[in-house]
Amino acid sequence: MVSYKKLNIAILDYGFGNTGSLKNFVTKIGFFPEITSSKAGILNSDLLIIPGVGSAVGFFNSSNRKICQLIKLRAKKKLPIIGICLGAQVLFEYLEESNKSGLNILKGKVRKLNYFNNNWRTVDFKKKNNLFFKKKNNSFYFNHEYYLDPKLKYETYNIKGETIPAILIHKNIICFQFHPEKSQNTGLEIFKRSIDYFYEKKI
Amino acid sequence: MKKKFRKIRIFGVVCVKENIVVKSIGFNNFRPAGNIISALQNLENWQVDEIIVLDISRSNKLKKNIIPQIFKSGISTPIAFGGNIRKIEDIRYLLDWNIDRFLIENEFENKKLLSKIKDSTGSQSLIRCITFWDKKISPKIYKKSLEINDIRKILKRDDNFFSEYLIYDTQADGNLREFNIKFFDQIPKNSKDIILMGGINYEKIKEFKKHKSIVGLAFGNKNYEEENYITNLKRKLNDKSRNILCRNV
Repeated sequence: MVSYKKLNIAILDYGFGNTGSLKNFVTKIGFFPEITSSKAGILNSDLLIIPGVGSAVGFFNSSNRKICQLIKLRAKKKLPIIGICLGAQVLFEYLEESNKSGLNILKGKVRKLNYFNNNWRTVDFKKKNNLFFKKKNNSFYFNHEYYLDPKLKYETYNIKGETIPAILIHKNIICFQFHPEKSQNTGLEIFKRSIDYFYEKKI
Repeated sequence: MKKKFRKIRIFGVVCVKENIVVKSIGFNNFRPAGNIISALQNLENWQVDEIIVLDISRSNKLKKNIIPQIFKSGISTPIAFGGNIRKIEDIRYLLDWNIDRFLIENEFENKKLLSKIKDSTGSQSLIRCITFWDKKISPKIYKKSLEINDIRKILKRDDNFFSEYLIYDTQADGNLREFNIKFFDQIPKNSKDIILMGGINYEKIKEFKKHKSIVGLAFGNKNYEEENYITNLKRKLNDKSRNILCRNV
């Protein structure tokens, strides 16, 4: 078991992710993250964060082919992954944005909204005893044009009053459609709890 | 899936000229208003929804010396940066420094390059900045002087690239007058989301709310004139979604 404080956190650099924001954010929590696209970084880290910002077209360009294979390998080994916005969307079977198949780690499609969901939205944590239930303030910053449409019944928490999943949890993977790194204190709290989910299992 | 939700976002603006934060008076006179780090940290403490950092220094390339200061502020509020973004490498550079949305100015017309940027960052990160002076749109930089009535053309032209438009009435800065609402008639009903900046008066909020495309109000100088202006404004807007904290000064 890895010591919690010594967790080796890797932030994936695929060209146009907001690696700077995430580094700033993860450092705030008390870790020393590494921004990487290397094989060792992707496969050997205790937690891999796939950042948001960017487009599916850019993510799946030819120069990232190796990175895609390494992420698949990591998922196969059941090592923890957190996908944020685009970083979550690429894990799915098919993405409308690039009109191509995704990494096919999670079952379902990523579809287009006919508007940009740019705002602070409340997430509906209906279930009791879930990972994030204790939070009083559930507002997070969303900035996306495509949304997750999972096929299987994964554990999901939707945006309040909508059917758009904001959080999806499946075994070793947590997907955030919003940006925890841009959601001020609420983002910090939910991110800490996500690390707890993987490494402390206290909740 | 149709849009069901509409909440006006409050943007805090940090105007930077030659490395220091300034208060703009009609975009003609600029008064120093502190340093970038504390300005950003204050805005986060007041819980603005988003922050716009606008570098108004005249330059033909991105001024990289102010960017590390944005990173040093260590804030986790969404930041959009505008000013002298000229090429795709500038955006790549900004992404490394805690900035994830980009204001692309009106004179930036190279469609091939815009398309390349869109394919790299996604439209959701791109905001078109349309500044106007009196009734003219960006008169100093636009080859052909455009009138306020031409705003419809610009919105149509840029529709594929941007997620939002920032419409900045520069002459109204510094309480010289109120935001020129004449342009509202020019905006098509199905226009993309619009953020207003320059001479925004809270009392006019009902008028802004009438137009469905208006999703954000940006405040710069007000933050230096009235302590906790944004906090109070959010209370008036009845924004209960987040705990509003006041900083004890």
